[in-house]
Amino acid sequence: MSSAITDTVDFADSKTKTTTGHKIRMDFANEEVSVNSLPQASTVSFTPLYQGYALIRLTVLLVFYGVLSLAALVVVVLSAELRAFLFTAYGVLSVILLMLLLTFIAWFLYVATKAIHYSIRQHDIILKSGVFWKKEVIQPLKRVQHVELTRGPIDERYGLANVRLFSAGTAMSTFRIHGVEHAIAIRIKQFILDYQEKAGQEFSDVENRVELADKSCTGAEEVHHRHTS
Amino acid sequence: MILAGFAINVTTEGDFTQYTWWAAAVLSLIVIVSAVLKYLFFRYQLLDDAVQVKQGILFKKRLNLKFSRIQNVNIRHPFYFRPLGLVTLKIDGAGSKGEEVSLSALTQATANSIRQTIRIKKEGIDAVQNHQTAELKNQTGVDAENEEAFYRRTLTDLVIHGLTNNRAWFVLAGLFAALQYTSISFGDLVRFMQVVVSYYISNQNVAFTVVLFTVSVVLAVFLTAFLSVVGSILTYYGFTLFRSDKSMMVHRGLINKQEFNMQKSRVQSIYIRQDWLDLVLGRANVIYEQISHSPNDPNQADSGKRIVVPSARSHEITKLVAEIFPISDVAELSYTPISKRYFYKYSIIWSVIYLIIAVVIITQSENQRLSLIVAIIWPYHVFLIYMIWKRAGITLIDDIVIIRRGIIGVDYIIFPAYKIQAVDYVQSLLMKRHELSNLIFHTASRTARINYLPSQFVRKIIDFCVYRAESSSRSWM
Repeated sequence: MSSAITDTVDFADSKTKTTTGHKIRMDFANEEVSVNSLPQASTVSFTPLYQGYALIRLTVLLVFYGVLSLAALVVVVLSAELRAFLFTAYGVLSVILLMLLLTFIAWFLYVATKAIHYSIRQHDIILKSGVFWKKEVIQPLKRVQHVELTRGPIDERYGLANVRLFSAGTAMSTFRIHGVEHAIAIRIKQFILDYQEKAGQEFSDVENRVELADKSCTGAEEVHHRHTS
Repeated sequence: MILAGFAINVTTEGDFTQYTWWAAAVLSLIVIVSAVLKYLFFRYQLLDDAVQVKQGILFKKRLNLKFSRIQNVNIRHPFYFRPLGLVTLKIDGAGSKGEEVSLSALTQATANSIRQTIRIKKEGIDAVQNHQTAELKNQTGVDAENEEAFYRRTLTDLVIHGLTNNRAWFVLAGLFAALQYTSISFGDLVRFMQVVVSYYISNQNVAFTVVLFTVSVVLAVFLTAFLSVVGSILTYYGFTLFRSDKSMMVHRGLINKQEFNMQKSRVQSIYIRQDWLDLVLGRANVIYEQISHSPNDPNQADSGKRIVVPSARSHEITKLVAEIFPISDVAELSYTPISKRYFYKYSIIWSVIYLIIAVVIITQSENQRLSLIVAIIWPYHVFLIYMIWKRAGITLIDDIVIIRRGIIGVDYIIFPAYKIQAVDYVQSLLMKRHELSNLIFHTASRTARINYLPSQFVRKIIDFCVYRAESSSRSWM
């Protein structure tokens, strides 16, 4: 099982990046598993999002900036006070600072989107993201409660989709991959559903046994019984 | 009732009483009629595999809660039901907030038998899930009689708990709720206080004001402590923890008696929480946590989702933890510490901030004494950062992850590796240079984070925990 777990499932034919993993040696108190044989999350290969996705996001942001600057222009035209302020030293400085900030946000959005990579193993999904703060989330498929595929109008225009995985616990722990090709998103979803079905088959064995078990139990008298099968 | 209060506030002198009476009459009529209708249209049924509730007059609502998804069955004894000998049965689902069934005004016997039935069926399912079909019959049969009271809290313990953990809000919330029933609004109280205070301050000398201030602060502290103790006693009076092989049960409460039931296998994590005053007295709260969808509020008393054992002594803590997870005294274990760079980084950042503040005060302000305050706070803050660094640590005992943290008091978060929902590995550019990273565990009950551990170590822990979660056939629920 442990060797099979490392096999990565490739969904996209696009370039895959390989991270160099560390050689790992460590002694846990647990003797059941030798740590060297454990599958390592740091050695799997990652797939980037749809190539044009960062550009799409940037375009959307720039359109938003355009609307914003139009609104700003209207305010400047209408307000004489603001015009007067803009031509003082402080006014020029604040405009420059604002420009810098907006440029930074745009750059950051582009780079952050480019930084997102994911990888799917037999038993889990790994998502890597972050520019200044690198983050890696591992979501075991066994703990996924349901899968959601969402598409906004822009996603539809470019044939993209978002995959969201929900596990138990707080909303903070929702796992999402934005901007993957729709076909790949469907395959990811199908892969997870298949995985769950496999797990479900094990469970249905269990359920059969539950019925057997129920017959051996005696319920309290005041309980209404109705057979549903 | 809120509406009634509103009516009182908007009406002026003349029609005051008349409107109030009308509002009260209409409201009570609505309350009575809706209560009767709700009663008439409420049906519940125990099916083979689920509890079913049908309710609603215009909008029919039907809830089918599978036994396998039931997390707890709790019995509450509200004070208004106690003379009638009736109870409220509350069934919590493991899923969303909507998955809750509340059956009011049952007799104690009915409630007990429903709870017993659910438990037997549920344990049956769980036992099979754990592939223990053979032992099933014995276990379910004798489980009920096996329940023994193994842990109690005396009044002294509750007083200590009240002093160390602020339970005053509990009493205050009750008082404010009571205020709504009178014609005094909270705003009136504040205005009254303002008048009194400003009168005294304007008419007396400075010394008197200082004395008044000191006295009121001391009084406030005593009052809060007193209310907190009262709150603690009201909530936890007669606290008794029962245990059996598979579950734990709590009886507690002075006015509203409550019975909480929790299956051991459903405990997602144990949180041992110790305030600084707890440390002085050698106590800590032990909190058994189940699936929770809201972020954890440390001041929240126990609900269906968690059981709080108030102010336990250290040897009791060991016993309480061992009840769920097979580990020895958590205080005796050796922990992997976090990097010293944590202390360096934060003490330097804060020192610079304090320095800037001090410089600003010295150059800009006429009141030089303010910089003295900075001089006192700064080393204290650095000391706190040092303590945070010193407390932080993580260890792995067989399958159990234990995270130690805290500032003055020592907190522990304990959970089995196979129950994790997801893991995060976070690293800043600066941390990458020093081969450090942060580790975040998402369990169904809480998110546990530990910063500044060696990257390779974090990788190993993550690989191990993920392996455990994916290879284990045990149900995490």
